[in-house]
Amino acid sequence: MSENNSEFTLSAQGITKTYPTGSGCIDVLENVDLELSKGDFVTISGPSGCGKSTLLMVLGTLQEPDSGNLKYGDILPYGLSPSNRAFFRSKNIGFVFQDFNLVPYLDVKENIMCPGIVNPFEDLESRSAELLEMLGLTDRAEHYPDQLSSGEKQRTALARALLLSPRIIFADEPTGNLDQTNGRIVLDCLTNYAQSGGSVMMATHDRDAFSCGNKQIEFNEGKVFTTESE
Amino acid sequence: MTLFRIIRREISYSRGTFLMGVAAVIIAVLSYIISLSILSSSNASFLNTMQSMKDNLEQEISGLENAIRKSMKGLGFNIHIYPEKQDLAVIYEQGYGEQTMPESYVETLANSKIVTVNHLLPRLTQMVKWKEKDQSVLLIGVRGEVPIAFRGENRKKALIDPVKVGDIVLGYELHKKHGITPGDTIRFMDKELSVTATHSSRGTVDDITAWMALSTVQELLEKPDMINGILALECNCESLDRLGDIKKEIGQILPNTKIIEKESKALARAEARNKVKRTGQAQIEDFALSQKTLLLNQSITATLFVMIVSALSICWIAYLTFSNVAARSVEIGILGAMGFGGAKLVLLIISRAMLMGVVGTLLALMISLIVVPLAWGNHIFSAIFTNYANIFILLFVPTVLACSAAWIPAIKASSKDPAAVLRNE
Repeated sequence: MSENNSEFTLSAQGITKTYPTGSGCIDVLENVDLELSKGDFVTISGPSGCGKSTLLMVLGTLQEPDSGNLKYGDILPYGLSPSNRAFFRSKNIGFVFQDFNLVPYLDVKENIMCPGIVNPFEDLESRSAELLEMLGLTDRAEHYPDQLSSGEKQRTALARALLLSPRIIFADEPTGNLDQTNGRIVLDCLTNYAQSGGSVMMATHDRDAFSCGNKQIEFNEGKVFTTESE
Repeated sequence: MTLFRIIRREISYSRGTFLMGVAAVIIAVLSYIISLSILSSSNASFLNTMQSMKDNLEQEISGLENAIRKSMKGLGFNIHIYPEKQDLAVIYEQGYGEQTMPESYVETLANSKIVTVNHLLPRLTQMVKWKEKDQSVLLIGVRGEVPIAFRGENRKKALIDPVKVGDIVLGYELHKKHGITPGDTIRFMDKELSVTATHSSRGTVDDITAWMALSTVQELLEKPDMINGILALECNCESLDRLGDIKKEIGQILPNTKIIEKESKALARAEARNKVKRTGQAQIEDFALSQKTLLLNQSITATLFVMIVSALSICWIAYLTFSNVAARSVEIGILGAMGFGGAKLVLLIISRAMLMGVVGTLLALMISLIVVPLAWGNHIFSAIFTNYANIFILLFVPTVLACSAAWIPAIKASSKDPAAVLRNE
């Protein structure tokens, strides 16, 4: 995990996001308040188009909200310059997408090592080998994305997100395109990551996946409806 | 894992568009090299033709000079030696001078080792009134030729027979008008003289001229031992500056004299030679001017051609980069999500264009290494590739232009919101 992880708390207050459309504006997020601490595995569920992905983008510092505050500990990421925010993101945040979003011309190992270009460190090779081993991809290390199954692609994307041991991983429907076995592997990996001190926030339609979270949020029409904590 | 590795992998993955960009650079660079070759070749050809024309003219002039030298040698030419104080305007106006010099000058010349003169004729000339006949007469006193002593028996045969003391020779107008015939005795300025010869009409001042012995004229004009000119005939000098050479030689012997050349065929030929030279030079200058205009027009056309080809290449590379960036929008989005800042994304895209420029330039140089010597010769190749300005342009400009062509697409891609890209996906 990144330094100062013990003090890590994500705090979102009054987050609002509106998208302009031809027939007016759509309120995607309305006054969303959230708090996330070290070791939390937050799962978010809700119907398609309810704003789950937008919430992950906003919390993941990829999309500035129209109003509201987002804090990572004491840091206000949207108060940073774009380049400083990008660097902050590279050190603190990992992403896993439903469509994997692997770089097509890099092999599995290179895809995993990609974040190391922004944040190089000495043990990059051994860390990537460790992740390949952990996610059962060692024999696929030199394969390209178009030579992999969906499960292997998502495991590669997960390994890439884990490379720099970020404070938090945002996973948007990570099991949406996977069979049950591969889905289980991904969920186990995310659960383990949260239990080992990281934080995970996952949007999902899958009820089994939803139940993995120690904080479960029902989300609809841009609002938090119910929050359950174990 | 480095950024360069990503660039290398991406180029290998989408090598089709990369090679199309490289081809655009090759075409632009080759168009520049070929234009330079054509211009250099035209310029070299122009310089060769100019040199050849100059050589031919020099040869022609040189041949003409030799011919003139030979003809001058055969023709000889005549000079007048006058006293130094003599105003030449008076000579040209009345045909003789009023200033006199000692008759001994001709002896000095005759006794010297002069080589440029063959015959020396001292004379005393003056327009007088033949009071007995109320007639204007140009009176010329001649002594006959003064032999050049050092040549001994080898000297040239005398050109003119002397007029003896007591004799007179009359021009056409003088004897015709007054009905005088050879053998008559006439009275001229109170002196009894025997007419030894009369001349037929010459249509010149000779028709009113009377020739007598120099001593008689000196006595009549009261200028004892004085002359006002020496006519030097059949001067021989092979050099082109023959008058200069003769002046130099005579000037050393008779320092108080001035020399002019009488009109001669040799003089006319020298003038003709100068005219040929001037005409030839004018023709060369006209040719040079027309060729320079032609070269300037060629240069303007070539510059326009290269600029158009370069502009098209830049547009093509820009289009390819736009297409490439559009095709890589998700990848650029995910790299942005992973923390690649704008500068790194710009570098990622610009580097690809930079490599297009470098590879295209190197390939174009390799092609021109074969094509230019074959088509235009090694001298043109050397002329192009030993010019520092050309080397600078060839090595840097294509790459800089390729990078600038990719600049706008790179900036647009780097400023794109990764969330928007990933959300659309």
